[in-house]
Amino acid sequence: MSPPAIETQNLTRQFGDVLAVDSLDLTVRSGEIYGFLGPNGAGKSTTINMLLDYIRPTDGTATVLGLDAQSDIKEIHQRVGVLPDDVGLYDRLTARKHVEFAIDVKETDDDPQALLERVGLADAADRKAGGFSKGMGQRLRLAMALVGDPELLILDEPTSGLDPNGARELREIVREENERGTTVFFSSHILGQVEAVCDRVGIMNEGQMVVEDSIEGLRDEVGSDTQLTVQVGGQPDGVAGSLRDLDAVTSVSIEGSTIRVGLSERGSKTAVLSAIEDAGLTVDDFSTEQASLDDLFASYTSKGVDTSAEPAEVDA
Amino acid sequence: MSGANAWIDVAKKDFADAARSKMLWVLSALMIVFVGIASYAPKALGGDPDIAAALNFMSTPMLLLIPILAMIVGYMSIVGERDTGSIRMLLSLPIVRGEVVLGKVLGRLGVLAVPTLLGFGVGAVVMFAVYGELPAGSFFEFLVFTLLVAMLYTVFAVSISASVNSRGKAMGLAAGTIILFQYLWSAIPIGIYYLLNGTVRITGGVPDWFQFLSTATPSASLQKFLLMFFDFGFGGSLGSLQAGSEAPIYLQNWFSGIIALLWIVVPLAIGYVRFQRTTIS
Repeated sequence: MSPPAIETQNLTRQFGDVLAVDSLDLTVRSGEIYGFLGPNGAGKSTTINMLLDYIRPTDGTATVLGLDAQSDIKEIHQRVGVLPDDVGLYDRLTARKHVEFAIDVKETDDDPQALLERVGLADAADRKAGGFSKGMGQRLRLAMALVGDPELLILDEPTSGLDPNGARELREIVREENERGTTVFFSSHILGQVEAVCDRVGIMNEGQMVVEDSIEGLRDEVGSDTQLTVQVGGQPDGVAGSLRDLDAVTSVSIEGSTIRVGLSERGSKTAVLSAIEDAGLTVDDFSTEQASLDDLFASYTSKGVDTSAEPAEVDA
Repeated sequence: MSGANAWIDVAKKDFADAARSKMLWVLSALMIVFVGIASYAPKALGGDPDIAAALNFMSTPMLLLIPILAMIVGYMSIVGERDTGSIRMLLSLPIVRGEVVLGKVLGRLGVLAVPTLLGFGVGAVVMFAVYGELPAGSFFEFLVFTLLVAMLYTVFAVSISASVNSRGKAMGLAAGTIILFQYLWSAIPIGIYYLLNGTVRITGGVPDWFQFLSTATPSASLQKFLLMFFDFGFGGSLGSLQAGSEAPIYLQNWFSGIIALLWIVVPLAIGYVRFQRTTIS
């Protein structure tokens, strides 16, 4: 039984007063594709930066492939392929030189041209990276991450800058690598980018893991939920609390004169509408729809999406 | 364990990157023009000069020029990669931070050494053409000295670059280092003498500590140490730091070798420790 590809215990990082990562316990099993989700600023990149020793934790431990992330840096980075977020390229060096550099450092016998072909950059192999678009740069970074047939791929926001076609190709490569036995740890702030490929996802918000489940498990959780959208006349800010007290209400968010209420199966639309009217508001219009995974994601990370004056925190 | 020589890969890549920038070519042109002209200048000034005169002519400006070039070449070496984020790519590979520092020192030293060698090569041709003799002993002594000064200041520049998190701080420290060693240093012993004696008029011989401080800069300590092996026989100021045999230990030439070594080890250690501890984000 191989050790977990990634394991953190009580992993914590404080920047001044800000707890960027708060006592995180994370386990990525060997062989799986793990989607690491959360809005920007949730602590995903800080976590990954600690796994890569770019940042040292203020508390807790992290292991990668069973090795200590602080002391076995060289061996970890030899066996892991990394696509860090926000990483610069060498403007004056060609795509091929970049890949050759990674091959030299890892002392592997990869064929640079073959790797560039895999990521769709074969035609640009001899062009300098300084002229690359964001998407081309991201493809090049992926090619470098694939050098040495790594046991674990750590991809931090790999789809940023990729067009939908590029993102699909990336997911194909992730799947192919996984079929060859590579564990993939894949962060994104967009659920849609990972749900098609991930075995499991963890959602972070404000430095903490708020939910960890398989995609199927998450679907089961949303499957029964109904999203009720109500247009009201009047100021709805005060009503959130009384709605949240209702039986079977899973989430409430308010945006202008629109109230969105998540209802579980046994919830009653009528009860919600009467509560709104009891608060002295008029119901101008309402609609219901089945909640999607995106709504679920948004509800777990509502601080990032809610713009109401009164922060409408969610009790799921 | 593979990747054991990652610092060599870093040095090679760094040099390759510089070779594609204009830096290497501008420096080469500068050194060729400078050494070429300085080799010919004594002849143009008249008299019956020789190679020693040419070396003498270029020695002082060369010792001003090399530290400045080393700072220009090195001050952005690491902090520049933090600016662009490419440091994250380097460190995502099996390269540890110490290897980045070491590789950068070697890469940037190459960027300074290659133009220096080209310049001296052209200088040698000019000297042969003008003075009718092939440059020998003194020429190579001066070349070795120049390359070692380049190394000392490249270490300084890369160490500065490893220690700070912004281009501005690196530039300030690099400029400060040059100003300190080339312009302010000589005022330090005089200032102390003034504080002790209330006058800057030195009477009754130069005190030992005064001599020690005066020759404690990177270039001067290196030069004094090299006098154990070289005679810098072309005249000028380079041969003037020979210690008398009755001088105290800290004024002996070999002791200057230790000081020169400290000018390498201490900045490098500070740069390494600060870079090692910093957050890369």
